[in-house]
Amino acid sequence: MIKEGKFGVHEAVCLVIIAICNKIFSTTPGYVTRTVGTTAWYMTLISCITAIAFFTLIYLLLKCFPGKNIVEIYDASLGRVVGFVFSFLLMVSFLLSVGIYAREFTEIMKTYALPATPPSVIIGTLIFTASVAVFLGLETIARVAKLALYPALLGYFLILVFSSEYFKLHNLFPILGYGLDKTVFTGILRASAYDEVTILAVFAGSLQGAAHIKKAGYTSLLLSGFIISLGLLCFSLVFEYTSIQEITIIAYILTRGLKYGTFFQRLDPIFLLLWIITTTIYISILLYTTVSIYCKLFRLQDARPVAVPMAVLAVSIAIIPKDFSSVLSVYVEGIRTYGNITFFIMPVIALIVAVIRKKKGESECAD
Amino acid sequence: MKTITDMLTYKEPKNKELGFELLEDEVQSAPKQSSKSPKHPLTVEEWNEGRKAENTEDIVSTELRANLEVIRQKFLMPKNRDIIIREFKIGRKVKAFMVYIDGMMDKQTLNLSIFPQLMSGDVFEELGEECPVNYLMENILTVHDVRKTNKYSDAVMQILNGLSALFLEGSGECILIETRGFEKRNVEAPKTETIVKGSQEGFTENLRTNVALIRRIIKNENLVTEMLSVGNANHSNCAVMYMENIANPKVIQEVKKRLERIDAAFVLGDGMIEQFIEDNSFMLFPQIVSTERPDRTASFIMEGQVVIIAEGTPFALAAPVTFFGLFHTSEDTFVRWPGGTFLRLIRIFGLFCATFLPGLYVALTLYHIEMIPTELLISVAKAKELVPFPTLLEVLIMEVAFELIREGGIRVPSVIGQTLGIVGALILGQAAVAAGLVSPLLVIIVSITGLGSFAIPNYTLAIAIRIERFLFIFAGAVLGFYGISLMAVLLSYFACSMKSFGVPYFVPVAPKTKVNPDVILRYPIWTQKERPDALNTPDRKRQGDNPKLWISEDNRDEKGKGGNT
Repeated sequence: MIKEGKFGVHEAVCLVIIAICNKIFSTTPGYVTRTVGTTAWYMTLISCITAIAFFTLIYLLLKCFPGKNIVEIYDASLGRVVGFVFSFLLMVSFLLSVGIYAREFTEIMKTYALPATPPSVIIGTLIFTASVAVFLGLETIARVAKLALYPALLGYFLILVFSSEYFKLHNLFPILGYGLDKTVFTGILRASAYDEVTILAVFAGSLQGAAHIKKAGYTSLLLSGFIISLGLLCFSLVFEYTSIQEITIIAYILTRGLKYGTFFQRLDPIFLLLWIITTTIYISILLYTTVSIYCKLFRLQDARPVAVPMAVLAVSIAIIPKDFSSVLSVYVEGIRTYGNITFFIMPVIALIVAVIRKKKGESECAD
Repeated sequence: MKTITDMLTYKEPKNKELGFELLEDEVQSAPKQSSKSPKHPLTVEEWNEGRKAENTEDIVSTELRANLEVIRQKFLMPKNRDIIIREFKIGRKVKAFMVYIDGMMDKQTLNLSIFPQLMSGDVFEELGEECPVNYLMENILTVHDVRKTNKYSDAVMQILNGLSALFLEGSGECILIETRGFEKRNVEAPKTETIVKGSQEGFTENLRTNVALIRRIIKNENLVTEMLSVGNANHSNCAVMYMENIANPKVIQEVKKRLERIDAAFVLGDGMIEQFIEDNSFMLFPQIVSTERPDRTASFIMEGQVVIIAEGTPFALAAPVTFFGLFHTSEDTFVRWPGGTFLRLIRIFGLFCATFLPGLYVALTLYHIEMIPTELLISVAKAKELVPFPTLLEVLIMEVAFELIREGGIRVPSVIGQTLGIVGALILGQAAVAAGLVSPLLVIIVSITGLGSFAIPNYTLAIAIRIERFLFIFAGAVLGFYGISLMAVLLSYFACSMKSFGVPYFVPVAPKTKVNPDVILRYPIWTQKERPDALNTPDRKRQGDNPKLWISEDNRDEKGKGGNT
């Protein structure tokens, strides 16, 4: 098995928060508002609670197999063949996420910051940086995530505080949006927005025991829910929901519109730096997770030879979508809709099977 | 062909382990440095086997002529003109000779304390059955340090270090007499780490003086000074200093192991040693901290770090080190905590300016003009109107000119150096603006960048930042903010993968360890009760639970007074 090193709860929390919360800078707020109207800010809390529920089941699964990661657990619980299929699907999900988010990021960069730069250059450099991170290892990525989170959160909250001048409370109404049932239903479906918490199960061996995983998982989900909800609330307070639905990158437009005096205006440089740094780390985390699952799946000792081929695959996936609208409507939406299956439902199946098998006396899960 | 094949084929990594790591339970698991030898007592056969294995050619002969010939051969005499062999008779009876190097020994000691006693007629008056070598050492030689050896190699090495070797007729041992005395610089104020408040003493090129300077600060019997020789040909001495009960034994062992395993003919000073023993040679940031100040070195030792002082340079090395430790100076401790914190924040701001400012300027003016406020944009446009060069070239011209001024200022004599700095910075910059070669705004940016890099207290880190600045300029020129962000993440990845003697470089932030309130912000001195967690020192406590005992005593006195009245 590959040596991934160890990291603590703090690093794990930062890793997961960066992976989950990076979406607030992307097209997600616009899409969510299109679906549920003014209720996006508390719909995400419903998603968060659903994700917590799923994570509890994942935690129970990890607790059944102490010291094992999700790939080993799938093998132990479902048998080598079915376990292999489950792990492979998980790896494919992560690989698709790398490609699609890299493409989404590239399209936004082209629209707002680098209109003349070819997409291949942006995708290539982004994936190259992620590949370097894969070479350097999980410990390194976790440490950089920890270092980057503090300035990222500081910048994020500064933007939200500066935007308070433009808050209009009536923008939050109608408070029930398109109906409570729709909000709750969408909230449960979009629990996949928090599916990156599954990386804790992939790196279970690097965290010191199930208690640390539990602490890291719940803390990161709660903090992520708070950060995303607060951001969506601010967006809703500043812009009417009909406007948000039309805007691709709401966070960028918000920062661009900030103005305090004649000189202190347009905070989009802060936004760009934060967004690019967190996205690069996010893509690195996803690529490393993909490589790690692949190595565990095929019992490889060294992750480095897999890094470059996997990066090439990620670039290939990133250039498949025809245009930006297809990236959003087909691919990103596809990951959001079906992500629940690979990230949350499959571990639950493994847990159920483990419990049933335990009744047959093979494991400790029945206790 | 082999190179191409190597590139295309997979090879197992040579070192599968993650290198030396200082883990949490290392103190307990580390082997204790016991004074008792772990070896079992030798049998007679083993002893005889060992004797046979010894190089008999290296053993001092009982015949004085033979010894004289060996010494002459070893020192390539008569070609070597600074080796002096003084032949004489001890007590006008026993033939002997003394070997020393001209200029390395103290003539006064030899002329007044050694030769007169040895050549006096009554030297052997009280000699009984005992060995003449022991008799001389115990009764005649009035020098503070004498010892004997039966090996030529040992004698030669000590002669090269400045000692005098005395060979006697009929004795298979020679006496090594401490007569070292050579020209050396006096203790002066440090040149590279000047501070306003605090000690004004700096190291010199003399190893013994440097060790004594630290001993003067740490008056503790647990302060250990081990002497090692590095360099296969030049045999330079270096001292490894640490506190026996504070430094982690694993770190001490690792430092000594790396020093002992330097396989190079010539090793001189801390700079070369640092390059031989550092963890990652291809990283920009320093992994061992170098200082010219004895007080700072003493504080490193008391923190649990291991210090290496090399012969020939006025610097000491300390390991392990963290990124945040490179921003600390002696002055932080000597001024009160608000001042210390403020100074550190200024340095970090300086680091930010030195690293990013020119790159951000390039990115803003080339890719993100719309992000510049209108008034500023007009100023920038006006300033650049007459400049014929593209922004990147303009920035590079100024940055390279600045680097030239800096380098030139260091190389020329100090008086001219200051003048050159002023001439270069003011007149050259002014002339460049007047000639329309660069914009005035850029001169301001380059000046602030320069000031920022001067604010970084560690010279090696400052050089790394100067190199990184150029990387950010190119990244900004190629991909704007995106390029700068990618470069920042990339360099962060490399920096975070680094370790200094098993300690992660960005500890205690990444990874998180127990924080002593003296990392970036500096809290009051009495709150800094523990040593850095990452060093994993056996004795974690730096201060007592109540470092200001006088407060409780005063309160008790007050209560006592209240009770009396």
